[in-house]
Amino acid sequence: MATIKSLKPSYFRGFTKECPLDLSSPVTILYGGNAVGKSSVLNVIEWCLFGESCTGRDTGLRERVDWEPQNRKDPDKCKVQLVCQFDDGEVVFERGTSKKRGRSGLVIEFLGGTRLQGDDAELWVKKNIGSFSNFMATVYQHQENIRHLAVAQPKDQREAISRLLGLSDYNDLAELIRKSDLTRVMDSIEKELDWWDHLAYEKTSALTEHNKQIGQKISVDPDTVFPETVKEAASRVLGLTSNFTGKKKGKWELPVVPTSPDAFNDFVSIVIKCARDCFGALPVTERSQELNEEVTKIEGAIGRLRQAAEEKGTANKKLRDFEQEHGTSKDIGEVVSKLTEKKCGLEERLKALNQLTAALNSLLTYMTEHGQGLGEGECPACGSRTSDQQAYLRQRVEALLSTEGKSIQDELKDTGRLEKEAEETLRELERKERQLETAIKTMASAEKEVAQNLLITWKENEDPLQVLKKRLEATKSEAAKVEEELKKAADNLLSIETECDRLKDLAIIWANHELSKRLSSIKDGLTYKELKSLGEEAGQLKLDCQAIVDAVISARDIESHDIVKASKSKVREYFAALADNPGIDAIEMTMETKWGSENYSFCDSAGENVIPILSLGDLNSLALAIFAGLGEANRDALAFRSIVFDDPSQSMGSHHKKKLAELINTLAQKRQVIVSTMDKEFFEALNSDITAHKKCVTFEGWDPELGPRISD
Amino acid sequence: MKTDVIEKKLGESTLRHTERLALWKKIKAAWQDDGVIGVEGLLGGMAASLEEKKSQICTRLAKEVGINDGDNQES
Repeated sequence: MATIKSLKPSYFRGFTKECPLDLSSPVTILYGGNAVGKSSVLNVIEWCLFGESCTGRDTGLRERVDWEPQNRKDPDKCKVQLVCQFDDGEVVFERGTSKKRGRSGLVIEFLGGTRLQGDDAELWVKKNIGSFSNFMATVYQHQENIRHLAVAQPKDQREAISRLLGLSDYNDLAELIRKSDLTRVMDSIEKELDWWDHLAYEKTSALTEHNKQIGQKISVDPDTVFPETVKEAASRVLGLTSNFTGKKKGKWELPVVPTSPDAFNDFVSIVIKCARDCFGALPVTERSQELNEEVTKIEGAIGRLRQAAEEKGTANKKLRDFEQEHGTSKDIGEVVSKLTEKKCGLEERLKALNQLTAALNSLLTYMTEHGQGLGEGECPACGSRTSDQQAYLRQRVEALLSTEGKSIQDELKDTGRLEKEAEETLRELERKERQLETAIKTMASAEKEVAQNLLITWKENEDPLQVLKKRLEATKSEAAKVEEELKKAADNLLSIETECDRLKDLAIIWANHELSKRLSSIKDGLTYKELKSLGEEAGQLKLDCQAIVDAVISARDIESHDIVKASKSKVREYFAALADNPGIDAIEMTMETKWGSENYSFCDSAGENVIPILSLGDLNSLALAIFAGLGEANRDALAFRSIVFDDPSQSMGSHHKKKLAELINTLAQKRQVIVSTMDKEFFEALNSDITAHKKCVTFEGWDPELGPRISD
Repeated sequence: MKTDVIEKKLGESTLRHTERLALWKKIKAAWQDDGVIGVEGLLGGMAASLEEKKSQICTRLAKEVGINDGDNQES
């Protein structure tokens, strides 16, 4: 059994700085007003040992909902240390909120330096100290729990008293076995057996319906489909395929008829592939392709030659039409030459006229400058008789220029225009000649190319287009014959494929028949029997587990009967000492087992339940009497020798308080006691009545910066 | 825990007392060695073994009968 030696909170609840506290005395009294840190000291013990388990709704304590262990000033520095003395040495527990301390934050150090941390440390606490609820029932009498023990619902009361009796192991173990995965697995095996039992019927009906549908599809009565039927159909398919591929023996290997219905899908796939490959490689298939290509080529060639011939004809016609309208190039050339010649003559004449007028003008200038020819006389140029030589001469020059000169110029202009037109006509004719020449060359080139493509040699005086048309007709005729042969082959292939589809359906009917047979005889099979046997084995195991649970509960009841029997006088004695109620002569704690659960009752000597008539103070007294009495009777089974009271004198009068102090003095003879109280009267009673070595720790106040102010 | 009482009770079983005692001894050892975790592990392991056996048998059964093994998982 362990005792608490010391603790050291730091940034825990109301504590800020590190605050070591020695609790090694047989009795420690924590005394002070409200909210000065007394309960926080007790909280250190539980949080250090149980961490998260002592917070939250599951604790059953209202105050633990949303409870924060860390001081908000610096939550990351929250750390507590608890030193306990076990039979085999001192053990130091340390818990912090820092993640560095391992996942759970708990570190345990044993004498000699061995350390455990994280999950290993939590497991050690679970095994050697027990659960938080166990601790609450046997060590730490929380004020909220005091009355609960006496007036709680039977189930909660049972649990609390069982823990107090050190019997929680029985309950925990029985519960573990009851709720183990074994139960689920056993149920699932039973469910599996049921499933297989139902399968035969449901699946067989579905298979029959499926066969009926297939039968309708292929016009066959499914009941007349036997393995032989399917195999015969397969042989027919093989025969058809073999005939089809016969011309290429050895190359197309056909499969053998399967013996299992499941193998027919593969069989059919191979047969169809074989037939299709063979069809693709038939001579008529190849020839049909060749002929079709040939037809395409010839039609292309005909088109090409037709186009070239058309172009040539068009060019030729245009040239002839032009020649008809404008004459040949020779004719036009002659016209151009004549016009050129005429133009040259006109230019010569104009040139002569210009020289003449220039000479006359020179003469006229000379005469004017020298005052000659002002009167009648002969014209020095033509010798004609004139009245005024200069005027005559001037008149002559002007007449020459305006009549003859103009006439020559007009004619020259017309001749030039005509010459240009003739030249343009000639050029146009030459263009048309060139176009014809190009069309002729294109035609020749097309004929040459077609000849090369179609491997034809044109004979002299042979019309390539006619040659091609004849060839096209012959090729088409051959293609039609080949196509007919090909269609026959395609029909054969289609009939093989149709037979294959039918074969597949027949094989499905066969497979469904087989599956139905297997389903009908499922229960006769060894594997089903093996499953059945596993189910029986699981059922036995279930009964074995139930028998073990019954044995565990039975052992618990025997032990609890013994403890209750041994402790009932202590409970009676402590209650009498605490309550001193004249209305109740004595209190009798009894236990009976109903439906696998033990129920506790508290009656007076007349056998009447006393709970309904107890005052609040008496209920507290009863709870404390049960707590102390059972703990006393069963103390060897407890992990801790310590007992912690948190404000136990609530609702008690002076007399009760005095009695409680006396009771604690009695308990302190055998257990280490830590009492927290704010009750001055009770504190004084403790101070005066406790004879064991005691230590009083006074909480004088609390400062937000410094935490609790404590004096020993 | 009075294990002797439990063993005596199991020994008094008219049926399978040897098997029940053997199972109890395993549970007791797991409890004493590792507490709740130990017993959970032991019974969980037994459950897993049964589950595995069941699964293997069902797979074989499905194969023998010729149905999809996944079919019975839907149940």
